[in-house]
Amino acid sequence: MNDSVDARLARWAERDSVVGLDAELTQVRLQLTDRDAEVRDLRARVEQLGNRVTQIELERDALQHRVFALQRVPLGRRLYRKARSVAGRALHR
Amino acid sequence: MPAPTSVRTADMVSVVVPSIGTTGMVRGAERVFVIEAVRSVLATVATSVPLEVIVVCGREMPAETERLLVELGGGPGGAVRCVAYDDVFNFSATVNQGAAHADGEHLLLLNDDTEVVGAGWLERMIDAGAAPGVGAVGARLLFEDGTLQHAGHTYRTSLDHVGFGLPGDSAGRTGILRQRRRVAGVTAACMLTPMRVFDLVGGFCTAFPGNYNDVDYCMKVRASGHSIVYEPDAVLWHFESKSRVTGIRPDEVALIQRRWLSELIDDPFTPVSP
Repeated sequence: MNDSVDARLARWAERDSVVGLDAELTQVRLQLTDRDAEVRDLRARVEQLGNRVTQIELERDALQHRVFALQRVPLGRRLYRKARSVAGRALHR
Repeated sequence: MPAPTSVRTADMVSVVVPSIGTTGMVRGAERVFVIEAVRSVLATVATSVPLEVIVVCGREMPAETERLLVELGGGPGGAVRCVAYDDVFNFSATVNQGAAHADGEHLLLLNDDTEVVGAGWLERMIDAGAAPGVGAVGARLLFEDGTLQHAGHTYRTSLDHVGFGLPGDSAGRTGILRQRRRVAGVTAACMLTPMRVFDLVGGFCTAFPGNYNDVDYCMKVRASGHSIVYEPDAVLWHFESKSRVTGIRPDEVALIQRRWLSELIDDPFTPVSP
């Protein structure tokens, strides 16, 4: 290198700037890739959670129907007993 | 300022020493650090290694110290030149200023508060740097009390010196403190780098005036496809205080992270407990 001191300093400042910007660009690209992966991951988890919510709602509906069904049995039995009691009293008169 | 005198030689090593002529106590005696650093270099490098010493003198450098430095270069060890740096303190800029005046194929960046321990150190660094693809070589640096200051950098969640504070002759648990090996980076307190690599990556970044300039340089060298090597048999004293508190500027932290964050959170070269 037979160039002058000023030429060297100017060249190094220029090259450092280029290398530095390239390094920053690489870092930003890596961060962008990370964020893309994070978004993909979160979307997959949201979809998974949505499916799970649907599944749990179906199970909940089934359980609710079962509660109603089980509540109807004692009511029917109570009505049957009441009717039989009324009928018995009427026959004894 | 004396007129520059240098010899253009293919294998010359240009030793670049930024200094403002600071004085301090070492082993109970006061010294001008840069004088003793340069004296130790000239006394320990074989005359078969062409050498020039470029002291980059800050504006505070006493004229008498400059005169003594140039006198030191009058012997067979090699020429000593003083080049002026008149701007506000910026370590990277002083390194670049010295390198811009250099004629050697190799640059040896050297802090002025160092002293070579024994002969053969520079030859070993040159030998380590001769392997294909090596872009920088670092030395083993000892504090005044003999403990280890530097055996290469390790970048893993924080930027540290490998083996910091261990006994100076320690090999470490895995022996790596006494092995020539690739490392994440080395300190600019004593770093040999080929001029062509320095030129390729644009020297030291002046946006790091006080801290991380060597980390950034090593990362630029690695990004250019070169490796960084630690040479354990090149041993120097480094009279930096163990408790030195550096004024790390937030913009230096931000910039080193903007440039190299993904590389600074993992160290492929150094085990967690060396």
